[in-house]
Amino acid sequence: MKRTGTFPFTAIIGQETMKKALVLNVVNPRLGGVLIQGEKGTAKSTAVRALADLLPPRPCIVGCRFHDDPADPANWCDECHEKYDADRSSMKTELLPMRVVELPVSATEDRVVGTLDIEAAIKEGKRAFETGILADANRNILYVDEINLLDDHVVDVLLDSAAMGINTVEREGISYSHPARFSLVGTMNPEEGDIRPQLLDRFALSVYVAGEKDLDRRAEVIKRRLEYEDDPEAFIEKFAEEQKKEVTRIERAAKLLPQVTAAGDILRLAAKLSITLGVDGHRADIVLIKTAETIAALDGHTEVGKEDLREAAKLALPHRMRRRPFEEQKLDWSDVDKVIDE
Amino acid sequence: MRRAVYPFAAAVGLEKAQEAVMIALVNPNAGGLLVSGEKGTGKSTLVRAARELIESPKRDEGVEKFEGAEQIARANISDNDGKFANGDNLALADNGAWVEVPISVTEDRLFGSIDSEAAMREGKRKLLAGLIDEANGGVLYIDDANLLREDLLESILSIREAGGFRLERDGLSEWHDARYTVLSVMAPESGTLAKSALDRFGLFVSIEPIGDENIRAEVTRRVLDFERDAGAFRAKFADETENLREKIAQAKKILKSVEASDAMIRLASVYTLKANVAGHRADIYLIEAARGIAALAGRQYILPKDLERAAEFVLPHRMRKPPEEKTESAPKDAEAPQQQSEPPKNEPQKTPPDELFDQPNEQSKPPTNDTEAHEGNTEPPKDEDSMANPNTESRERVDAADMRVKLPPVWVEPQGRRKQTSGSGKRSATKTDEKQGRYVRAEMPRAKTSDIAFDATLRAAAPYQKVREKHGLALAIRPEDIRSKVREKRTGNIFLFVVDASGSMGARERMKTVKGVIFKILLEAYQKRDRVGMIAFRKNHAEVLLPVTRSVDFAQKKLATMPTGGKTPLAKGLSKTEDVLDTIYRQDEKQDPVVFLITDGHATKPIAKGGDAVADAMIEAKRIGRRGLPIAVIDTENGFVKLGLAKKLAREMGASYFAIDKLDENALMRVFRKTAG
Repeated sequence: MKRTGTFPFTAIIGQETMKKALVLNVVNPRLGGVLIQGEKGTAKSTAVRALADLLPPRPCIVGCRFHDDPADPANWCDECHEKYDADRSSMKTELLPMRVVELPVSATEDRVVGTLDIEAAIKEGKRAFETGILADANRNILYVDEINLLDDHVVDVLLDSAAMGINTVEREGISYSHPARFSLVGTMNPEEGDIRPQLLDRFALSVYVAGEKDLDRRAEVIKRRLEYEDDPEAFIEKFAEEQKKEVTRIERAAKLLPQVTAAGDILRLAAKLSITLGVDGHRADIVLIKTAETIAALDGHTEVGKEDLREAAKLALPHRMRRRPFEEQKLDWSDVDKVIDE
Repeated sequence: MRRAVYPFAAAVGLEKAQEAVMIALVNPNAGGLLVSGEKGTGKSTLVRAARELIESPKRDEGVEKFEGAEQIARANISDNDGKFANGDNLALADNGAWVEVPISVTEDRLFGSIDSEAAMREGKRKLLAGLIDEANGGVLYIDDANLLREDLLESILSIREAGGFRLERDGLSEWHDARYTVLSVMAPESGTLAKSALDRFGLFVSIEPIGDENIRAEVTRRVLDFERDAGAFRAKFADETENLREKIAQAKKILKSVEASDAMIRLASVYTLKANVAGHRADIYLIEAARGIAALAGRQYILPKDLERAAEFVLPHRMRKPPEEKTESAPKDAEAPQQQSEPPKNEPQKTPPDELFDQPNEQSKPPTNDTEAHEGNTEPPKDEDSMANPNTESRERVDAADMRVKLPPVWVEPQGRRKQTSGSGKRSATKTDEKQGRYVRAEMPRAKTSDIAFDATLRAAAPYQKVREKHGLALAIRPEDIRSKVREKRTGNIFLFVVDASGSMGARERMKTVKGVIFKILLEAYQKRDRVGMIAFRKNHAEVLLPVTRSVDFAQKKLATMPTGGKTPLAKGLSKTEDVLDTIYRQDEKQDPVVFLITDGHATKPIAKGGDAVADAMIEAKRIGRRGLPIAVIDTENGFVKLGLAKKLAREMGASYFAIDKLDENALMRVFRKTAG
């Protein structure tokens, strides 16, 4: 079944933080994903799926199962190394758009990491590797809806490849490893259970979404949805212009990003933020800087400023705070401001 | 597939872990290394970087070409048909193999299995080497050791100790030599490691968070530089990497001639005796680690300071407190998390990076002091005299004073995980019949199966392909070849708190305590998948205050208000418990919920008007008792006249009984740990 098209990203009303967090991950695929928490029916999944229309095309090696980047041999799969290391002349490239690859909660481990290719075994008596979702996810966005309900052992393998960017398979007679670098995007309703802290930490950013409280805007949300359902194509057409603008904005930012730098005092400020707020590990510091850089790129400047860092803190820190009983998991923004404005 | 790794030498603030890695690489007999640390401390990055230090030097430009160690090892094995003559392993002892064991590994890949392709072609049983074979003569790396299946981890560690194993799979039966160094990392917050597994790691390092912003900024800068241009970054550290590689190679060369004098062996024993460790493993690891340290320093003899250094790696994770102090420590631990977050705040700038590692954190300090004080008293002075003799003979001087060793701080496993190790095995994985859960191994199906383990089926059928009629296909499978998957699923427990919220003294306090404990359990429940529910009874009825949940947020909302006061409808509380248990069983009959009943037993409200409240309660209690669940009755009765009704209730239910005068979170937590196993 072919879907006629998705609800346009730019037609989503409000939820600015969530949209920003998603766009940042498109601009900078190495940022490390976002976790979206919120009640049911707050456009979480709609936004993630709608993101697909904004994703820029990027060069891929033709015939590669992991759509390797021709310009990045450091992250090539073994097959590409074998074929093109000595001689690149036979290499063909094509432009493929980045995709949103979904990992359903019910997915089994073998579907996620890949497994023995049964067909090859029966027909040719060969022991071959059949790729799984992680292979599809390479250089794409991996989306897990209700990520807090994911089976533990699937989370384990997810953690492993999210950390290394490599999926190592040593199972069912297969020994194989391939690149699996993806932006992890998860959505969840915290009332249905929590997410393991290790997995939580893998998300670069987190946002919390709530339903629209303003009456007029709420009505507008419903109106648009009804309009879309009534005639999707016309609705999509209506937003075509705005979608195009957003794509251009993203492309421009992505081009600018490599030139963006963060000075030493910004790095120190990021470290100070993490220390002051008692955040574990170095990942927070690193993500803070990367996010601030991406925000700067989106804003069109090449030097990370304090305001970029402040905005980055609001996206990168909330889920890294230690949780204690009787306390709402909230950041004290005055602390953040104090550190930054000092 | 391999990618350019972050250079080992480029790690910042991880000096102690770096040293431990080097020791483990130089001397495989030191028993491998486990690095523990919170998420994002760079432990995996560091240990994985060690790969470069043992490989044959090959200059690279950012990207390496690896016809690497794995293939060499693999070739070694297939040449030999998987059999090593017993003397062969010397040649293999140092081939720079580096093998990573992913968490999703299946047994056939770990231990090796029949090569189904070859079997089909030639009709012969040939070995397809497993990861353990591939690691022979090199390093076996496990990321997140505590997430790996426990039995596999135990096998890996004990095979290393035994120096080999007997493979009995798929009709293969052969001895495999296996010598490798296990390097591993774990994040303690994601689950425990069994004590027995912990003990088998020779060396141990716990990475503490860095509290200095300048150092942290440097870490960030380097990681970002590396990500931006791995090749250029690696080139900057190429010389240092080469130096380290050379240093290790040199140390390995002289290791054989590093002697451990009798005095040093005795000194090692002094350490282990004082540290109150179990068994003799620690002594050996101490000596071997010290030999590694001496070799790295280019010496052919061990100095007392080598042992002191070695103790820092060998003792912390196996040190035990003297028995009488053990029980005392429980409440201390319960308060640990609050303290834990403090230290970086208190002394952020002053602490030089090196000291951060040597400094025990708050909760580990007291036990160390205790131990030392304890030693001072019991140590017989005679001991020192007897040491005098070997001292004078030994090459290096060890005077009596040196025998008073300084122990490193004990590593205290973060709060709340210890109980898992004591292992009632309840929360460990259970086998499932559904097609869910991790594929563990294959077996002959006992009944008709739809969950076919195709890889195992293939292996079973492979040797017969030469002789079978195949009707044009490459493979003919007969019913007797079929294997089914054995799956395992980790299920958490359900804990149900049934609390008396009636007007008796301290009801409010009691409810608050239970609430606090529920949050504690839920916060821990991340790793265990535990769920908690709460029933309260007061006035005329019992009420499910918190439906069984795993969510902290949900509990927070539900338990925001907890009304108290009124009469005590104990019987109704118990029958409500029955109802909730019924629902739980209907969802999953394999559940084994644990019930905590908190009451003084003074029932004042019968089920029907005019009934006997106490008698009603006893009847309900008996009914629950028939389920044979683990139940804890916590008796809060106080005052001079005690009726002992709760005790009777416990007897009716077949429950364990705890009388607690003053219920607080620590007391309840203790009961919880005892009952939950």
